[in-house]
Amino acid sequence: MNLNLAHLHLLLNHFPTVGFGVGLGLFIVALAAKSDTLKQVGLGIFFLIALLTMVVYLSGNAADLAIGKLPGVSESLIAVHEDAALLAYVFMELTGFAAFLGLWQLRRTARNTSWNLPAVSILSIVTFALMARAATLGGEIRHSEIRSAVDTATVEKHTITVEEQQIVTSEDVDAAPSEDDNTTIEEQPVGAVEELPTAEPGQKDDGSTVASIAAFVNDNLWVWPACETLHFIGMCILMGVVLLVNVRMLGMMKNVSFAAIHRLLPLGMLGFAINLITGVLFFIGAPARYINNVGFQWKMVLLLLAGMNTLYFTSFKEVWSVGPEDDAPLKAKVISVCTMLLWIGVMYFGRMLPFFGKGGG
Amino acid sequence: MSLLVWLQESSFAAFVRDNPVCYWNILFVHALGLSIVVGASAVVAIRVLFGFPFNIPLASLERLFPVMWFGFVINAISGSFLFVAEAADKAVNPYFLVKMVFIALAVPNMWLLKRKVFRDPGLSLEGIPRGGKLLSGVLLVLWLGTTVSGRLIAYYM
Repeated sequence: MNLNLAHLHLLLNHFPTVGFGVGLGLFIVALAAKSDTLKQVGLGIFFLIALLTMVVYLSGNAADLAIGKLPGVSESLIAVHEDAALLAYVFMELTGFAAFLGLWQLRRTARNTSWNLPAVSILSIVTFALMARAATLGGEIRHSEIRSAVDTATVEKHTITVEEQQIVTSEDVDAAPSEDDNTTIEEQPVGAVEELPTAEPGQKDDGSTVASIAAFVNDNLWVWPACETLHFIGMCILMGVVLLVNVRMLGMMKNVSFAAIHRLLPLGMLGFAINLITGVLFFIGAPARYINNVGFQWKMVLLLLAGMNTLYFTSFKEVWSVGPEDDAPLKAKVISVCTMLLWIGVMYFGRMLPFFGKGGG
Repeated sequence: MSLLVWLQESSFAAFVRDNPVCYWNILFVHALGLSIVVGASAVVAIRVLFGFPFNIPLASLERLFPVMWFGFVINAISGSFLFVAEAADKAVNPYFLVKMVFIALAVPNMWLLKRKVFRDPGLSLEGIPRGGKLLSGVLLVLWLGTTVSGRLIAYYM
């Protein structure tokens, strides 16, 4: 399973960089052309890539487990990449939330309030730069040809700077023989990967930010229970809004327009934000416990699908225009029920994590 | 106490406790019920407390009360199963006892909120009846307390 998820990391890691770059280009064109439709598409791309980046970040740990102990793989290069990836991930999610708010406001007022579009612009540019840096550092883990001897020494001291990396990359990358990431990993014996000891909480002590966050989560007795409690509170808030949308779509609150329900969507997103933060803390605290847990993998798949449905209720005109006493279109009812079932599925696999694997909640 | 020990040692309790499929599924159902009763309560309470940002006619939120009670019944049943499985242990778990106090206060509060606020004839004018905000605020705090103490039951050694 490690091997498959490591592949997934290599496949998906282009979305937060290349894919996001395309989105950024589109967004800039939309701003220049003052086109609301293009703005919506750009913001939608930011939101979807922020969703997908969750999987990219998580699967990175599978790649670490798969290749981290192999000869010729520098643990400190991985640690540097991991820190850069976490920082880029944080900004990616901030961009995602800001993009969601932008879509929400565009739907409500047909134009954004003054702060949102500048905020999304700045966040997305910073995210793009941080992602490019994380990707460069990640590429060097298995591509020794774009690494210099000087850099390796620098990396060991964790004082690497982006500027050095970019110079090296631009000089050497053309001359380097092209090497397919997938084949590199497939050449490793499968058995060796399977038998790797899974990292125990707090085991890594490489001075990285990720390691110190893991130590914070594991060494303080109160952190885990506090995060679990917050995770349940976030779940309740999110579920409250999902229920409300369903109750309206299915006709139980027919005298209310969907526009009124739409106002509450950011509250649901707040619940999700609480759970994203606490969830990432759990994961950093004990990555090996989660990444190989089938329940966790299903939870993430369902989470992606449920997240995508958010776009429908935030932006699509056919739901927005459901007025008082209107019957919601069949499509909206179906998507609404599916969304609720997906979130219940997310809860199911979340609560069942200890059943599917050792440890957990 | 002997009743609790008898409950905990019954074959039903042993089945719930020792069958992982059964135990974890009941825990999931309990979390689902929690999200329904607390989630729906939160939406209603936030609307009553902060009113204007949400724009949803107050009267129509009465439709959420059956949803809340539905979640509550799910949790009363699943919670009873979980209690029986470890009756004697739960009875001395301080978090469990605190949780029961919170629930014992939250249920009449929920009932009062519906009776005093949502049955008020002046509701159509969209004003919040007297005491409505207080009831909503207290309900939020009680459910928060229930969730926190319930979650901490698992961490009592």
